[in-house]
Amino acid sequence: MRWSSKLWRHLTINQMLMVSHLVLIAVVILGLSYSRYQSELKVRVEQQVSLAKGAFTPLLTLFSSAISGRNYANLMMPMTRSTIWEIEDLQFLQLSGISDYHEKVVNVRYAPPLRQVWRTDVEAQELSEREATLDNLLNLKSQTEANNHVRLNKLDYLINKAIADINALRNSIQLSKYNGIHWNPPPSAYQGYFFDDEKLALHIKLALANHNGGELWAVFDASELDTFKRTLLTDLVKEALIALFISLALIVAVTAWIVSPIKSLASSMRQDIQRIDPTKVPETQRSDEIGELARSYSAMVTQIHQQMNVLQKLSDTDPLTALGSRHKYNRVAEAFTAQALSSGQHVVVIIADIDNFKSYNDCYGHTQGDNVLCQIATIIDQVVGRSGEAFRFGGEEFVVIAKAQTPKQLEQLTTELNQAVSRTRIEHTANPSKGIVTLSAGAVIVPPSISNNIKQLLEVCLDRADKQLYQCKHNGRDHVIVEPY
Amino acid sequence: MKRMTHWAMAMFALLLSAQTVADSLASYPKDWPNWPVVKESVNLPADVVLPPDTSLFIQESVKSYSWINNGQGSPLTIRVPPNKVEQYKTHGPYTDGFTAVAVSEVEGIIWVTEHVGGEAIYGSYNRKGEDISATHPSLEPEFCAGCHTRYKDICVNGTCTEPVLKVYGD
Repeated sequence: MRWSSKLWRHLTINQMLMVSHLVLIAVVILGLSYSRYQSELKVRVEQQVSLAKGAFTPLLTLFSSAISGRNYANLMMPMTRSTIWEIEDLQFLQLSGISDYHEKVVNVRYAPPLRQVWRTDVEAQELSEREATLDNLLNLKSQTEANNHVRLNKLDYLINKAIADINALRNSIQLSKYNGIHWNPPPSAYQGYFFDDEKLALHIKLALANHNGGELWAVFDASELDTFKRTLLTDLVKEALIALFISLALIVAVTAWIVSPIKSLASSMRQDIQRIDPTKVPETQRSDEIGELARSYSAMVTQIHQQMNVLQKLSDTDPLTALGSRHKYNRVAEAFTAQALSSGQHVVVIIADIDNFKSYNDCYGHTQGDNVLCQIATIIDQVVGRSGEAFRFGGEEFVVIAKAQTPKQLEQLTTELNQAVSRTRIEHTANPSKGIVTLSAGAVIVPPSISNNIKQLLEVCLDRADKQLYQCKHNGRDHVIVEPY
Repeated sequence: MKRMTHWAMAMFALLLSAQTVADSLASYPKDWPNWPVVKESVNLPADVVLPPDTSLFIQESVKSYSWINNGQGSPLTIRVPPNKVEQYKTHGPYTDGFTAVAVSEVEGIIWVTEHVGGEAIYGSYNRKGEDISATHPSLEPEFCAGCHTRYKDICVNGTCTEPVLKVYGD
């Protein structure tokens, strides 16, 4: 069992279907062919048996009566013989039994091809008695006067009969030694008939009607049956091969019909889930189980897409300020920059930071700090507007990427960020010399002529803008530094 | 040489018998009416219903003689010469000469059994002593011999041991 499970494990569904169906079909075809072979052969053999038995039916009473009273003459007379010789294909016949009155063995054999009939139960004493009778009759005849025609006639009849009897007995003794009979009685298990396909012989056994029991055993030439058997076998092999060929073609077609859509679905599943179009999932039009599987798969892809959108939205949005998250920046910044530069626009990368925000939290508490963060974020979002996108990178740090036709516009946008925050006049007593919340920002403006690797470009810009921001802090905060790339 | 002699004699006998076919072999015993009756039996009628276990020999006998008396059957009387009554009781062996007659009383058929050299021969006559063996196949001597000498299990020394009436004995 282990080897078979190992074998199955190494087979594809395609191969498994092919092998299993082929085996199944082969078993079915072989089973049906064997069954038909047995059935047709049996019918033909039984037909032959019926014909053979029918040939003996008119003789059974004669045979039974003869064995009952040991009437060898009836069994061996020319009329009986010629009737037996006329039975078609009969090769050998044996009549045997026990006589009904003195329980003596009776056994007579016929060899139609040799035109011979003989007893196998002749005893030497029987022959010597008949010979003695003949001698006695011959002696009586020699003593009879020549003109005693009546007596001579009687003696001649009896002498003739004795000679015929003696000849028959001698013939039987001689033929009993004949070894040309090479058939053995059929096994006792075969009570009606036995088809010996090795010796091409059909054995028939019939019970005789005498009281002590008797039996007819006949052997027929069965070469015709053998010819039928060979023809039947050839026909069945041809039919089986045709059936196998048709089945094979059907199996290949069905296997392809089942497996190719599975392969097609598997190929679809191997794609990036985001790129799969649920409306174009293959095999969804089928009405069978594979169609059901394809439709379920399509629905699942749709559901995954929806859930991914939700997740993306969640991960793209900063939960406190509703600005874009660092994750969103990583996802969109490159595409934004590439698109703007390729369309001949300038791009600015700004890093902004609320001045002394830690002190604000310490002074006003974290809840108020969060409120300020939200207010500043709203201001930044309003200032950036449609020219770009604003992101909260963490704490009080914001990143803006924006585009414009001229560097001047971007410079103004950066300065406006600083000024808009100052204009709100949010109290911040812990922001020395200002007393209100202020914003510092470092910015790098990239011209459209730059054709560097965008990812690296943005990394450089962020790094340089961060350094500018540091410089703003060093210069006393509430300050903006913008430089070209 | 002996076999050749036998063969030639058999051929001669065959030629002879061909000329005299159906003639009775046994002679007609004129004094048979004076012989003692040793057995009374019947020729069974054609419409007789035999018991299922009736022997095949009796069935063959009934079939052979059912024509007698237009199929109505007939009483049958067996008579034996006085000198052979004792031999008849033991079914032989028989000395030469007439052995028995069976008389079908209604039809008047007299079947004669005679022994020559210890062998039985048969003949069929009417009450006038005329040979009637040619009038019906079952009256031919060879037909008689076919049963009386060839059923070796039943018929010993030319007479048979199974009486027809035994069928209805019980």
